[in-house]
Amino acid sequence: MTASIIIQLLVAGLSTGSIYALVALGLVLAFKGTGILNFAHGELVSLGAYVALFLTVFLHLGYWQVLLLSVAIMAVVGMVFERVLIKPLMHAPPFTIVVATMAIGLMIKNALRLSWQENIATLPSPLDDMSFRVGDVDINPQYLWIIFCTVVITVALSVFFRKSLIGKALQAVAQNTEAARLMGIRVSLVFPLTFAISSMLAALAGILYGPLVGIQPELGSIIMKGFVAAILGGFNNLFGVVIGGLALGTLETFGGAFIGGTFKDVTAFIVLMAVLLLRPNGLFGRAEARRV
Amino acid sequence: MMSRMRTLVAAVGVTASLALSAAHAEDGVTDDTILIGGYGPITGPAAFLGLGGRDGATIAINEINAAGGINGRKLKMIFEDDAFSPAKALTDAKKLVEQDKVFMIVGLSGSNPTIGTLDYARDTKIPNYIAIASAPQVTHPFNRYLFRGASTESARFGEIYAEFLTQFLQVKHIGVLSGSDENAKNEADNTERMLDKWYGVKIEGRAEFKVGDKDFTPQILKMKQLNPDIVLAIGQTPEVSIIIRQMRELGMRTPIYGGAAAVDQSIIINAGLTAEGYMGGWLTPVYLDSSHPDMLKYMALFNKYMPNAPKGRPNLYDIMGYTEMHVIAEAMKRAGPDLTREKLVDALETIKDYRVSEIASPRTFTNWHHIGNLRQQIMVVLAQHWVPLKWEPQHESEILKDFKK
Repeated sequence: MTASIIIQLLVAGLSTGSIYALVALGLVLAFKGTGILNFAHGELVSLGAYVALFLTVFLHLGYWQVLLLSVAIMAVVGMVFERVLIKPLMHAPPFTIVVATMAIGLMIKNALRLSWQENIATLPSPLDDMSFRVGDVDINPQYLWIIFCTVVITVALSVFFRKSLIGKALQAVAQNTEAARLMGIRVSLVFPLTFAISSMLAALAGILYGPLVGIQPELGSIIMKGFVAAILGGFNNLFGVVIGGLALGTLETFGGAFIGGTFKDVTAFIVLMAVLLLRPNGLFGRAEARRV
Repeated sequence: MMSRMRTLVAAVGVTASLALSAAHAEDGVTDDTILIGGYGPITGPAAFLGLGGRDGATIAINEINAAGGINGRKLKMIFEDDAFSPAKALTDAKKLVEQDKVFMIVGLSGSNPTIGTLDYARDTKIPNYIAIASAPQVTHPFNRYLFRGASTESARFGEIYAEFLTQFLQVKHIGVLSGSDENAKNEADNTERMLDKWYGVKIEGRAEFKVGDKDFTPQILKMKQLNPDIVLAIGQTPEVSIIIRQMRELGMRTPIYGGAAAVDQSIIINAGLTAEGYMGGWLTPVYLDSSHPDMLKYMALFNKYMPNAPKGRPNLYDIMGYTEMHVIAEAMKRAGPDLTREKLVDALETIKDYRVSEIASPRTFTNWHHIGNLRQQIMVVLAQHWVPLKWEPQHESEILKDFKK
């Protein structure tokens, strides 16, 4: 295997891994902020892609307008999602919430299926047909754009949580809801805000992924890879989640090249099991200490 | 006393005739209805196949019923979703036979799910008309109750592809990229076998992928290393359309030939300009955008019954569902008003060079083989349209020879 092939595989792996990372970030953010594992998150990825498709096909908007508007629309969808569907379930047993979010996901998927059926639709990107060559390596700029967006989002989220008042409020609620409430933080506003950010990330993942693979209602099945990325990196560490996503994408791609295309998933899951055996909280996760 | 006797005799006579007619009656056939069961994927990644098959068959049923039905009976279909799973397809078949009491089954699914139903179909001796699946298990070994219509034998695909690649395109170095599902695997295996057997050509190498895969970089890089004259990409439309685009993005300009399941409008929609020059086999003589009067008539019918159809429809499977329901209806007509399963099978075996119109290739069944179609039209994408290539295979098929043995 030549160096150019390794670089080619690395670019593809990091790009796929960046999508996994964005999906995992959205999942973990909602979980850290509200304690809810949102199994409908994959369908929010699909919904974001379909919103972008709608804006492109029916309103004929350009890529950048579509990108910004879709993410904004999905922020509102995230808030409505939390107010209407999640808030009433907040005090239900965890298993009920898991089943409820799964059901919501199925509802979204079937609604998309009813209106768009299973046909593949494409989301045009200004980077389409702009592949270029560096040495022996052919690069699809959409791959670089995905990696760039993920890096920017990760840095932005990090700054947001560390520096901004709202970010600190989100962190405080994530650590201890009651204590945050006693400190004057309006928890009822923090929860929808968390879901808004989570849904924006989902939309971004869908819009970035759509031009590469086409849009269809099954796009949301990427949630499984998001879960694996989150567990691999450590569910309570946003930075770790991004590393987990990138590692998963890269492992899959190299696994496909060295072992065979049909064993891509197997390779990734074997590595996941090995990591969990050695580090049960993931590569960068920490066990949460509780006073008893 | 005489009057009582007459009443008794009449009652016994009526009971006896009712019992006799009940003994001859078939499930799913009443005085005014023939109930057909159908299955196929209408959810999941392969739903484009089942949705097309189901809607095509439904349009044909509406058309047949509007024209008066069959020997005074209207057709009715109950359709079940198999989600492209063999286990679900078997559950569907059992439900249709045991619960819904259908007269016969129409398989509008791919090879994987269809194979899941075959043992049950053989055991129950209920006519199963498989419209789409090309798996050899459908017709091998010969079974009186199993028929394959629109699609052809997977081994026949191998013969056609091998001849087209080596005799028409004159290529010798061939790389194979194939799905690991039953359909794609069979087509790729058979092509590899026939390339070697008929033309002494051994493929350069092969890489596999799964249904639902989105990134094919490892497989494409393997093809790139092999540096073939052509890549044979055999799989379903969603995967093949991504493969075409990713191959071009990764700098591979090698021509691509797709399998029978990857000639569709979705290829052009999803792969865009990168699809130019892509070739593949299409299972009907004319393509969807043809101005042939029969295709225009079909499109008018489709638009009448499916006014809100999404982009990409009708597809190949719409046509397959439509044409095969007409073949079944023709056999039912020939079976006569006293319709039984045995009579339907006998009637199907009299179908010779039948087609509802020129949007279908001729179907022929006999009492020694149930492979209805052996033809395929090679298509190429030119200026974002599917264009038929004027090429016909010359090599005599070995498929039916095997049955005669």
